Order: sequence, then structure tokens, then C-alpha cells
Amino acid sequence: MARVHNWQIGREMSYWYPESRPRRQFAAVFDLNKCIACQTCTLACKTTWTSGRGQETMLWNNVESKPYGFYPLGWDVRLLEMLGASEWRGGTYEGRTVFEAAGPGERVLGFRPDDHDYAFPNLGEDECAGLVEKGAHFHGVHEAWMFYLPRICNHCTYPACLASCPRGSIYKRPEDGVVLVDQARCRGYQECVKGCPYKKVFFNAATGTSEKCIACFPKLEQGLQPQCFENCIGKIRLQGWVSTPDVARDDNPVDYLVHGLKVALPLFPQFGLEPNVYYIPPVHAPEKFLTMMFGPGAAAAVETYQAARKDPGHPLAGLLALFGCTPRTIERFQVAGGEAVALTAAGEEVVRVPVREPVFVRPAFDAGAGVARLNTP
Amino acid sequence: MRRLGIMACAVGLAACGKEVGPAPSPTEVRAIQVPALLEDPMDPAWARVPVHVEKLLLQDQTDPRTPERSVESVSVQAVHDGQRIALRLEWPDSTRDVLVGPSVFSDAAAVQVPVAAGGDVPDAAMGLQGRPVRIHMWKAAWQEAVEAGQDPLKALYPNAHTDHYPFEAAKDEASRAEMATRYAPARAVRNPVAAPQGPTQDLWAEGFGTLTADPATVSRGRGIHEAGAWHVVISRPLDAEADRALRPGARTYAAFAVWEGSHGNVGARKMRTGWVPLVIEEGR
Repeated sequence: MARVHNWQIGREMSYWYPESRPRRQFAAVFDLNKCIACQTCTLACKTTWTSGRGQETMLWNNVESKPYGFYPLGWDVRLLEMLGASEWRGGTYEGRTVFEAAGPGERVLGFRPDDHDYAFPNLGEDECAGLVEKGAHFHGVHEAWMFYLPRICNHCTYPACLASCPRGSIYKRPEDGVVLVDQARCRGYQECVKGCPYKKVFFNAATGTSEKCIACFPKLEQGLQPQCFENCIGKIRLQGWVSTPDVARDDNPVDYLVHGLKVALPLFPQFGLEPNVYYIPPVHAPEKFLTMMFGPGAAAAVETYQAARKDPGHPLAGLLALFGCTPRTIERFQVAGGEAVALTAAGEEVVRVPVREPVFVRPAFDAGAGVARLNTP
Repeated sequence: MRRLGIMACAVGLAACGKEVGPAPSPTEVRAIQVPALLEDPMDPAWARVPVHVEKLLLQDQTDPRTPERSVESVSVQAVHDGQRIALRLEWPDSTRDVLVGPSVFSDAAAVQVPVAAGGDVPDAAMGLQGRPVRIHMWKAAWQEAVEAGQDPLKALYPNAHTDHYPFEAAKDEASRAEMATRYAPARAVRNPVAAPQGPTQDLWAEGFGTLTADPATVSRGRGIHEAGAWHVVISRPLDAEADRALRPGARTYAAFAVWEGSHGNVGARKMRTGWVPLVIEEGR
């Protein structure tokens, strides 16, 4: 075991291999306030990559409902229970990561789901926390809550799948940090399936090997965002590159959201993998639940997000308007004069959008024609 | 009185051990020469071949380790016909696990020999860098796929129905096969695990994590599960191109491994032996 630095948990931790960061790290920001679980991302991925035999229940991208939706069944709560209660002190995680909590003879603390755990990818969909009692009515605060959680592989800085594989069949690309299973070398031991706390490596019974999200690397290599990003009709997703906090740039969209504003947070940072998909937490879920899922910065992230919404001049409002506006990866951005501009790394303009779409009010009565307008298409 | 009679009979059989089979070989595996190689594990001629019983150890040298030992020992016999050597392994296993699926693992066994001739062998645990070992692995699931035509998906989920696979829409058989392969990446890159050609695979290793398949497999294998035990024969050429350790008259070593699928044994999670002396008798 080596000692490595994990900025998400604010401390050094043990990992199977020494720290070796890629030249740049694939990252994503998902705005959970916008996801409607239409599953267009899921289908975009499925039809592109996993419609073969043996991939029937394999969803590299899935959208589940929280708190009661899981794919595979109970993936997060089962591991949280195994890890036990643990605490944060400020920005430092004081509990044990999945690497530090590994039992004797194991590389990672984990469990291997049974095949029926994959059989209900939408179990718990739309189930909200708490019952809606008879006579309940809306009085300004929703009593019951739920939100959608879209998930892909986190292409972690410290992947547990990679650490789990006893034969080095999983590698992290130095050029973009994408984590891949070498399909020529994998022998189907399923150690990665057991090790990945997010359960984003899947066993293919038809080929006898394990497979996972490849971050659409053939698209990344052409400067394009992956399929699940490009096809997201809710425009909740932004793909980019994340830096470590010490070299973060405020004109890099992911850096700005993750490090600058701290409004986008990693999923279960306490597992210790430094995952690279960052979530803007939903504003309406309880703080305790969000802290469990996204770490101690959850409450502040919600506050920042809500404040920015009220300030049209805030760069966050502009940056959020750029989500889903171009198939190309946005390397830099600017917000000025009521417009948000996406740029390449060299500063070339990719797309320009208004921070606020103009609003036109059409009077109900057309005085010129002397007729009332019907509000039907 | 009746019980006494049975006991007397048993004692009598033991006393006449030479008539029912050869003496066991406690210190080494002796490959005796036979006119025709025995590749059927249930061939009655195996009864005339000395049996060496070797205790199985947990793989506890590298993580992940084997949590529990579910099989105490493996019985090994060996014969050769001057061209090929056949090793017969037998171990108790109450379940016949011939499928691989999500959290479903196959029974398997392997024979390991040093690549270099002579008694100077590397570590029995997968060899050492620069001093490789050769491994011949038999897997029940491969045998079932190749010999019984088992389709793992149909075997795992007999009642499952899939409406449509995109490759089914391709215009002709060749296009369908090409498209189906594209959606089976391990097969597309010719991973031998994805398309087993026989019940065995030949591999080599020079340390933990280095196990690599040979481009072609020269070993053959046959396993039968009967009376709560696996009976498996793995055969390979003597004096193979890839290694020179096995030839008539050689005194070398072999190591053995057993995986019990129902106990989650897979990969490094196995039961193994240390090096066992292997004597290959000269032709008589």
C-alpha cells in the first residue's frame, strides 16, 4: 500500500499504487436540480455501446431515484453499512476509506452484487421519502422529497476497480484519466465488480469478461462530449477537465464549479476514490442526506446555487446556460454583457448563449385584428 | 457378527493392496510409460497408476487471498506414451459448477511446470520475473461450452427473453456476425476467455499478476464429475516447443491448483500446492 493525497477528503490515505495523476483528468458536472429521469442518457449509452448479448442488464449510464432507488440493488447503502458510521471534521474525513477498511486478504472493502440485483434497474423510481398523509397539502415546504441521480463511471483518480484487479487488466489512461478494462487481458475474475463502490463495472456472461463505461473516449479524442452528455435533453451535463485545487483555473468550467464556487461535489467522497463526476446537489433534499452523499460541502453548495440564481450577473448563471449547448468539450468560458461564451483551450469561440433567454409577452387580445388569441398551438 | 465379517473383508482387501492397485507414491508424482495415453479420467487403466496425494494450501501469498480451504487435498496420477504426458487430478467437490456468470464461478484445475529443465525451479506461486512457469488450466465452464454447447446466458436465465438485438437487423449472416462481434469487445480482440476453443488453456506466468495466454493451446483436458468428486485429466506434449522441462527420464517439478466455484474461488482465490517432484520414467 502506498500513501497518496486525496484532496476530496482533505488528507493522505492508503492506496494500492503510488499517486500518479494523468496529464489531464476527465471530469463531469451534473446539475441534479434539472434531471427529470427521462433516461435519454441511458438509451444514448445503451444503443451506442451495450446492446450486445450478455449486456442486457448492463447500464453504463443509469438514472435512479433517491433515496429509495438503486442500481444495482442497494449498491450504496450496503457499502455504507459495511463502512459503518464515520465523521468529517471540517473538510477532513476521519473515517476509513474502502482501501483502509479492506479486510485481511482483500485489497478493497466491497461486495459483489448477485445477478438479481441488476434485474430491477428502475426499482424505487419516483418513490419519495415519507408518506403523503391524508389531508396533506402544500404550504410552502414540501414534506416529502426525492430526486434523480444520474450515474456513469466516475473515472476515479484512485479507482477501486483498478486496485482490485490482481492481474492489472484495468488501466487509467495518462492522457485523459479515463479508466478502462483491457478486454484482451481481462479473465473475468469479477474482483473489479466487487471492488468498485459505485458498482459501475459489470460482468458480461456471454464473453466472460467485465466491462464498464469508457467515457466515449473515441469522442473525447476528437474534442467531443460523450453520448450521454450530448443527448441529455435536460441539459444537466457538462464534460470537461478537472485540476487539483492548487492549480485550478476560474475560466475552466469544471474547475470553477468544483474548486472556485464549490457548488459541484463528488459522490460519496468518503469512499476515498476521488471520483471525477461532480454533482450540483438538489436544493430541496435534507441537508443530512446530502452531506452523507456529497460530503460536508453540500449545504454551502445549495446556498451558493440558490444565491446565484437570483443574480443574473453571476458567472454561475452564465455557465449553467452553457450546459448542453454544444457537442464540443468546453475548455474555457467567459460571461459578460448578459452572454456566456464557450471557448476552446486556445480561446476560439465554440458557442455563445444569452444568460437569460429574452421573454416576449403576447397580449391575449390582438387589437389590430380585433380578435382574442387562443392559447393553443 | 455381520459387521465383523465386513471388517474382515476390508482388512483382507487392504492386505492384498498390490492386487487392487499399485502402491501409493508418497513423495513424488511418477509418470509411468503406457502404450496408449490415458486421456479419459474414468479409464480403468488408471487403477494401475501410482497415486500421489498432495495437501492443498490456501493461496495466501498475495491479495486477494482465499478465505477458506474447502478441499483438503488433491490426488495426482501421471502417465506418458513417449509423446504426451497425462496428469489425472481428483478432488472431492459436492457441487458440479460448470457455469460462469455474475457472482457465479466455475470449478477448475491447473497444472504448473517450470519452463526451464532441471531441478532449479522458481517460486511455486506463479514463477518469478525472468524465470517463467507454464500453466495448463482446465475449466469446467469451458468444457461445458465447447463439448455440450452450453450457452451461458441460456443456462443462467432459461426463461429470459430479449426482444431484439441490433445485430439481428443486419442484412446477411456475415454482417450479423460482424456486428455481434463488435458488441462483444472481448471476442473482437480475440481474448481466449471470450471464445474458449477447448476445455483447457495454456498460459505462462513470471510472477503474480502476469498470467498470459499462449497464442495456441497444445494441452487437452477432460473432466468428469462423479460420486461427489471431480476426475480431470490434463495432457500435453512432452518436450513442447515452449518449454523443455518435461521429457522422458526427467526429474522435475509440478504444482497443482484447484478452484471450487461454489465457494467463490476464481483467479487468485484458489487452493494450490507447492512444487511436487515429478519423475517421468524412461521408456521400458
